[in-house]
Amino acid sequence: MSRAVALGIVALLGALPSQALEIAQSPNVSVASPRTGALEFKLGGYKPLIDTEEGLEGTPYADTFNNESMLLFEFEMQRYFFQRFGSAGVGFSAGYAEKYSDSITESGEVAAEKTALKVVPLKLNALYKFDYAAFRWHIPLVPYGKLGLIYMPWWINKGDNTQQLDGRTGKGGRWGYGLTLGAAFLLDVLEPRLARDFDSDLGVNHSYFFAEWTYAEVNNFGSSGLVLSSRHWMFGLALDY
Amino acid sequence: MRYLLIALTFSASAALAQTTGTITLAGPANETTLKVPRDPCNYTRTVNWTVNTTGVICSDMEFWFVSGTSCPETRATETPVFATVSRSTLDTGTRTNSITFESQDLPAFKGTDAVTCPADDREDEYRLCASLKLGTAVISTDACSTTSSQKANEFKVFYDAKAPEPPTIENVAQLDKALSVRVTAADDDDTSKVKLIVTRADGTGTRELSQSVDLPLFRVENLENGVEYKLTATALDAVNNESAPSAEQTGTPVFTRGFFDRYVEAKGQETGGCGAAAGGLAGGWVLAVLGFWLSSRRNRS
Repeated sequence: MSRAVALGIVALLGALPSQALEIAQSPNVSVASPRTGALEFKLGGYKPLIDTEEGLEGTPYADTFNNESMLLFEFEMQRYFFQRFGSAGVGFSAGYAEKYSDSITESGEVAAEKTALKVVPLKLNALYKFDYAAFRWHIPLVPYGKLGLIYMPWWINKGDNTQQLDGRTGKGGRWGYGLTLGAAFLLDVLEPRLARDFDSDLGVNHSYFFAEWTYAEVNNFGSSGLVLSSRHWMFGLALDY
Repeated sequence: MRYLLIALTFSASAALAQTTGTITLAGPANETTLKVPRDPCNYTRTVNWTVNTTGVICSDMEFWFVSGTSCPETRATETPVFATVSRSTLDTGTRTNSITFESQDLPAFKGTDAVTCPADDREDEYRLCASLKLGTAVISTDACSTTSSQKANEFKVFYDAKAPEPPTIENVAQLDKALSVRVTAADDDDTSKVKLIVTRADGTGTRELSQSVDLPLFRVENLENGVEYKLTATALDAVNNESAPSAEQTGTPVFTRGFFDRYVEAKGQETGGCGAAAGGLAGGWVLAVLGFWLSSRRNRS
């Protein structure tokens, strides 16, 4: 028994130098992939300020949709041009929101067909993310801001059809601008090893959960017509690639 | 040696006949079932046939119908033939072609128990049969001295003179210048289409709309608000047998106020339209950004 143990110890000692050599010769380089942009998926409540239109006698949006928000989903692609003290770049986003309600008869009863407002917000943003503290000092919070141009196609349905009324057509597009402020929580700190695997396997450098607030003026820069401006919160997931 | 030569000579003189072959029947879309409608009685259906054999053909090929679920090897003498392809035609190499038959060729309208065509309210199942004889003589100068009968694959023919049950108008919803009508076919029915007949209450302006039975909801548009319309529906099967009309329902389109109506009533200024410039610019954005993003991805890789 003692001979067997002795042989085992000798074998272990014999193996140690080669393991040490392997460790010593392993390359000491970062495995992080290049970081060039980000993808964002977000969801939130969007309530257009239609009833604030100048000269409007009444509150058609509130009366029709009980002043409730629309559920807005947006997808954003971003590209960074500057990555020294934080990251700056441009982003393009597209989204979709709809709201349905009952039409009513002239006597005020609920009719058999629905009415709906649908919008597709398109945004081109300049953006800045203060991620220097997150990467340098490991503070997992990234404040950021975006400023950009908005174009929002919209259409209004009654039943299955887009409404036409008195020569007006119930669809169009409105221009505007928007400012967004937000903060993103770096999820890498929760599972650093998983985050490294995510990067080495899929090229996703970092992932974040974020919340952002948007101030949007979408009224063709003050001209008459539908006001699709809003002040709303969005929440989502961002992936740096 | 002499006997061996004689035997070889006989075998080389086409006396060694192949005794098997196949007769294939198929509809125009390669189907093996055809339906025949109640009328007209001269309604013509086409069946394609193919004979595949290297044997010696010893008879005309005959086509006939039988009631029941299978064809016999040979036609009974009292069974009438409705089409024949001559042996000479088959010998000249024409081994595929088509034959036609009319509704009135079916057994229900032939023989002593025949009924008058069209017959009402019946669904009959028949088999279309075809056969010919192939020579079976092994050593003979006349390959057809003995023969075997070859019959075709199973081919079903249905005479469908039974109209579907009338459908039911389940619901009529009053819309703005339109009606939404839900029509359901009877259960366990062979309805393939449903027809909706819409007529103004004064009997004018009749319109018919047809839809697959899988789409039970009709939307009747371009109607006049405040006018009563009468609605009936009929069911049609695959061979266009039409049911009796459903119970009549009525509906009156009414003006409804949607969001755009309310907006316009509230003196909203929006007139709609996005303009070519705006739409083009937006499209340009999308393309430019997508192109830039894609090119940056390609450069990186």
